[in-house]
Amino acid sequence: MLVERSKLTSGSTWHAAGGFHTLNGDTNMAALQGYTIRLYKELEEITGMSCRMGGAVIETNCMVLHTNQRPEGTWDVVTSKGTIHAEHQVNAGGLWAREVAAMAGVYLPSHPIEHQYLVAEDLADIYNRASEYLHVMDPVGESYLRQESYGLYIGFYEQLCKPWAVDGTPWDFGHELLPDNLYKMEDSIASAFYRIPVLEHAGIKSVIHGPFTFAPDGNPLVGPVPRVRNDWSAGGVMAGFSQGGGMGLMLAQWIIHGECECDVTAIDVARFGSWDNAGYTRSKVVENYQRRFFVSYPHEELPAARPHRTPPMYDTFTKIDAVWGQQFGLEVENYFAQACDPIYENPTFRRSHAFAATAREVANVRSGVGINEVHNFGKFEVTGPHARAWFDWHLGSWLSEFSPDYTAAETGVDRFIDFHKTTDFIGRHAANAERDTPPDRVLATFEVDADDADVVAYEPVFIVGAVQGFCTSGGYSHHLGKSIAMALIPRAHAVHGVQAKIEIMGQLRAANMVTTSGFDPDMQKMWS
Amino acid sequence: MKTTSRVVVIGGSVIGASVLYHLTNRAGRM
Repeated sequence: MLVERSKLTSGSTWHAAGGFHTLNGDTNMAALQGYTIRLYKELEEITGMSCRMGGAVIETNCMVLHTNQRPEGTWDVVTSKGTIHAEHQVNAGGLWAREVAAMAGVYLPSHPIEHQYLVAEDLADIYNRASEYLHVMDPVGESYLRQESYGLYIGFYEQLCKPWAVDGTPWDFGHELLPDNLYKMEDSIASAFYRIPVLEHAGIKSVIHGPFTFAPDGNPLVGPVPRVRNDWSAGGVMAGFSQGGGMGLMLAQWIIHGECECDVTAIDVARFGSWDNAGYTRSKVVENYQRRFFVSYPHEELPAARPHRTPPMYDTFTKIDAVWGQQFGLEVENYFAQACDPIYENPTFRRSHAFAATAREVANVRSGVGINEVHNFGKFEVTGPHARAWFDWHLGSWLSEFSPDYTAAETGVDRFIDFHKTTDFIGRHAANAERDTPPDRVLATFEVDADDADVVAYEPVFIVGAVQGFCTSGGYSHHLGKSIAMALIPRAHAVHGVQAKIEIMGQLRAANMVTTSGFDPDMQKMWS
Repeated sequence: MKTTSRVVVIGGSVIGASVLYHLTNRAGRM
């Protein structure tokens, strides 16, 4: 059952620019945006979508007033038309998602921002085209553009952006727009005229200025709400049309199967913890909006809302020139600068000025002693009569090559599985199947003839002249004095000494596969 | 109005409709 406060699409959907693309920094998000496009094409062919809703009910003009959880975990959703008793509730409140979350005692890190785009009059250059004009995103002009009828529309992620409804979204807001504000877009418009001269002489048919929601990192807030049973979030979906299909699929999988088919770390509402608050969210949302079309760099640290949480050694380490990063809202020392080093890491795809500092620290801890603070490491205490059974049930996975997107046999984690174990564990059936039929691809380690840039992730791997795989991670080993990459490649090619080429910064770099560890291969140091 | 439901989706724009659609039709794979 779906309940809608007003009419379907009220809030931000009805004035959305409606651009579609599959560009996203997270590969699974990109795939989900691709799924969304395919889904809409499929739905176009369906006549009367409601007849396929399997008996689901849509109740419009039905405002939710309270959500009250019963002791056993079900919900009474109190609306203007009466109370609905449900096992699960899903917050897809959009502009009002903050308010709906608050009804359940939850803070949702989402905030609306005012956004504006212009619709130009019809243009002869567009009318005379044989095909639809390209959907353009311009990082320099911080704008996006697509064809609308025989004209163009262009929208901007301007630096003078403004958070909307800081004290809460008014309940009577619905199908209104905000007053035009071309002043805040002057620089952006000038850049657009320079880039696309035909726009300068086109009349403006309409200005669309309305609010839509962002999470602090710009990605949706999806999944089970931490610490609240049967409460699900589907909020902060800034690119509603572009991501909506995929987000709906992931949440449905999560509710029905208890997990999604792929790694959804990028959208998991749990990536923000109880440390987050309105001040942090608002600052980060503004930062994210302003950087919407900026190029992001590996290891880049963003400055807004910092420091937010600090470890006990923060002041001490700051005095000795710690270069700080942030994880889960907590300041974390990345490395320590010395007198000649800047106290920040320069954003670059090449080796940054953290390179020399890291080399120095690696040498020091290999030959001497180092001290560090590890407040940012997760720590779990598992106690109780079923603690052992809980551990037996789990097969761990992390990020990079040990993500849920890859199997145990693909990454070599299967060497740690006790197949004689009598108890069941997550993924046992799949792990057993891979013993009978090994996967087509495996994780391999390469030494790369790199210059001033190392593998980060997702670089293509060429073997015998063709792309055969992709990198999962990489970096420079200061201890070995070599650039190292890890990649998933076809099993048939995964033999010691195989020669490959890895594309880094547009150049094909020779890469030699190795099957022995570069550090202490005979484990002499470990056993000494 | 219906007074019981397995799942109540609050919000009727693209995301809410998509969640309802996938819950009732296809929670299969991409």
